[in-house]
Amino acid sequence: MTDVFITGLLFVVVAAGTLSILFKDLYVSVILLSIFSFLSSLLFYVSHAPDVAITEAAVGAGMTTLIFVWAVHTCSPRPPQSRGIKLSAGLLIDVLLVAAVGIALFIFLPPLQGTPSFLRDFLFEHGYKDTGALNLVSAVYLGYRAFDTFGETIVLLCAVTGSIYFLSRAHH
Amino acid sequence: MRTKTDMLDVASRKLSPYILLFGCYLISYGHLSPGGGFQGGVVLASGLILPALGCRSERREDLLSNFALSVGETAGFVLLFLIGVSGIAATGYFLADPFPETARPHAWFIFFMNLAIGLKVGAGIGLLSLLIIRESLEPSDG
Repeated sequence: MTDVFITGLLFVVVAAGTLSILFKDLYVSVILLSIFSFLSSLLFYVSHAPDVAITEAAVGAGMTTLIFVWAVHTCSPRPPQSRGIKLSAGLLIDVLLVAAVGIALFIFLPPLQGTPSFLRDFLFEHGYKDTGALNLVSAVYLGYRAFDTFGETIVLLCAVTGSIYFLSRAHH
Repeated sequence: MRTKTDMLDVASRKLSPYILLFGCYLISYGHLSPGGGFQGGVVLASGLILPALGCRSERREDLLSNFALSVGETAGFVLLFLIGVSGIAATGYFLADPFPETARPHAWFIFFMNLAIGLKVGAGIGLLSLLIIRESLEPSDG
């Protein structure tokens, strides 16, 4: 049952991604990408990764859509002449090529036999005792690699500062 | 054309407190359930900008000031830095858990880190989106 669900979801995700390339109206593409993110988050949730699912839903389906809509709004003031699907031979060949590579990888790559379990076992054994966090994802990214997280917040600080600077310059 | 429909009202105004509450839950329970500072911060930011999207553009500055959000973001970063320095004071290592071993199962360190990161991410992304909205909805100034 879950396998059927995941497979169906994967097909819809691929369809949404492909259609977002093919559509001529960029707003339609942005909404399709938003659907793509939302279904991916559903996929993550079904695969027992709720932390990633929340991030994907909040960032991918929420913030990214806002920023893309802004970018499209700012960069193309005129709506496109036709709103339908743009099909050219080159694009079709690209899509078919990517699909062929995907199918080839899916068929010829050997399935992963026995995922490495050392880290998982270590976390199960020591994670709660070392950090006190029941959510082991939190234990990793705030306990074991807090330095990384600190660096990420510095990156975000720099990004926001730079954006404020450029946006306020563009405004005046 | 500025007409206020029920749908817009519900989506932009009535939904916002619940989104903010959910963001606070994600941040403060990040050590127990899925979520954490980053995810909760982004949810907080979306709860902050939804009312700003729905209201009139001249009232947007009253609703959420840029200055308050930038203060929030800087405060989050300073808080994070202070937590790191308190690790130096307690154990000698930057960003080490400053709480004693006996208090470990309570996860105070993770909780405070989540709070600081949630404040920082929520204010930062909220500020960024608000600037972007202002920029795109008021193009006549530029």
